[in-house]
Amino acid sequence: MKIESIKLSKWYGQVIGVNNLNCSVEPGITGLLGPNGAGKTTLIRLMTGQLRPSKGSVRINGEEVWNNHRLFKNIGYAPEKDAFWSHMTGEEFVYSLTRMYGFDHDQASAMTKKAIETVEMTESKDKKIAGYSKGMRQRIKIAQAISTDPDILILDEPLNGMDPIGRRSVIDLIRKMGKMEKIVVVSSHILHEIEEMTDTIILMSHGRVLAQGNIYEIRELIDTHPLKVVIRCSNVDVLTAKLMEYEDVKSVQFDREQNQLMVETVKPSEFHKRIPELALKNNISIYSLYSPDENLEAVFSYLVR
Amino acid sequence: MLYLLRFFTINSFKNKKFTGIAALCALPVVFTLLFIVLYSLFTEQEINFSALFPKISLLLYVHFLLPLVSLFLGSAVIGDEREEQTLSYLLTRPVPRARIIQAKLLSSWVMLSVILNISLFFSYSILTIGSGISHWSSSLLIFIKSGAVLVTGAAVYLSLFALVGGLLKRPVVAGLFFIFGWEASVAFLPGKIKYATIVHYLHSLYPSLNQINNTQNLKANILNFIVSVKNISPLKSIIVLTAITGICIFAASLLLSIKEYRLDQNQ
Repeated sequence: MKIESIKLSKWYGQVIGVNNLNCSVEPGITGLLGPNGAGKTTLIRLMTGQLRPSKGSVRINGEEVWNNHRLFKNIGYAPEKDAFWSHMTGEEFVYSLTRMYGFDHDQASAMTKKAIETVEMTESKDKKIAGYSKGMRQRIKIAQAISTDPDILILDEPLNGMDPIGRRSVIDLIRKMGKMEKIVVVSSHILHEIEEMTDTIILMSHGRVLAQGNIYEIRELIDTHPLKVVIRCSNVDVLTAKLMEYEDVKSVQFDREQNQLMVETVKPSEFHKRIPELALKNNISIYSLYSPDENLEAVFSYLVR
Repeated sequence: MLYLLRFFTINSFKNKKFTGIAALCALPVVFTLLFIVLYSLFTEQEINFSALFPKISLLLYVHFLLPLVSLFLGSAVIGDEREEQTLSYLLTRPVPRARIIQAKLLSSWVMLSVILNISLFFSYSILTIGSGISHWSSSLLIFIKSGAVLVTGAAVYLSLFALVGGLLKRPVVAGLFFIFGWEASVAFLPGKIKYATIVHYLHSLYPSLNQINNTQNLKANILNFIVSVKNISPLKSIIVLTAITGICIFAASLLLSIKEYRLDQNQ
């Protein structure tokens, strides 16, 4: 199972939505990341067959998505926009959209019930959607997307407007779906949201894919950009002196009071291998070691810059 | 398809627009009532109101209400879902796009037919009940035939305006021009140009128009101008109207299948 974008471009008149985009999404959770206007929603709409590519193609398991309604049997989609038939209750909404997959009344009712339970909306299922809070609306949109247990789940900004508890339950749900060998695509412009769900990302900006893959692997690829590593240890002075002997170490700042030093290196892998060796040879205890750069925020701001 | 039809039919009756359309459809009833009251107050001459029914209903329903409401409903077949952004859900279901528009059209047709016939029934009852219950029941066939013409007309206009709605950005303006410009003027011109109007074919299906033309004691001659000569057989009219409906539904379905709908978005 695979979603592929091959030399995919989409223009809105003079405006570029996505530009010559190549990417592939495989089972597991993939975070579609980028600032507003990056082309995430355009890409999602192309993946769900709502938009026709101006150039190139989007394929699911080798089949073109545009105008191929049979493929949608295996796709669950929750749009970003708060779009509803407002006279409906939450249950009617999920049931109606589930029935459109061709299931009969009994099947659709059972699927609806299960999906509503999964998103913890059972108590509010009989209320009109017009009276739902933002978080409830997000959850009911997710319910209609998961009701048919699709192999591919595409969620456009699913955590928008959710309270922390709702956010946590949706993140857990998405993680669960990801473990079930399904393709789950989740878009967001908030980095830590994605970071909580997955390490696999597609980073977009101005309609282009800046990077794709594991967040840590992506970080490794940026070898010209120094990685910052913070080390707390028993002997800051000795470790600083030893580290300065290596060419890949561009700078070291230290703080004796905190027993902490911050190193900038252009060869992160070699650097990480070296630290235990140095510590043993010089009898230095390492209390902690982490990289403030190794989060999406840092990678994102570096790549987008 | 059956579920889609049920879904859209229920939706069309629960839609906010339904109230507006119901109010619009109440206008001919109010007008009919006013006509009778004013006529009774200011004229002493006897008039057979039940004989007036086909003419009044032709003017109010076939020439005014039917095309107008069809325009609002037909041009919004996809436009409504697009505006509400619910089109995203519909286009991502495993349903052919053509089936979506066909089901929506069919549900709008059901809704419009029901509401037009309810309104027509009230107008008919107001006009005939004054002449006694026997008049009401004896002219019932005329009401049924008139209702059937409205149902036929609704199918033609809805499919035409659904196509216009798919093609043009401002379908209502074009539709109003078509209804009150083209149809209202060309249908009464001599020669063959009137064959290019829908209302001409609906006239030929309308019951008892000749009978009304021959009525000598008809004071409301002003209404005569709308009655066209029956120079086309009902069968031919039905064939032409069916062909127009079929072509428009086919073209609108094809259009939705190939057209992409760019919903308002932050790219």
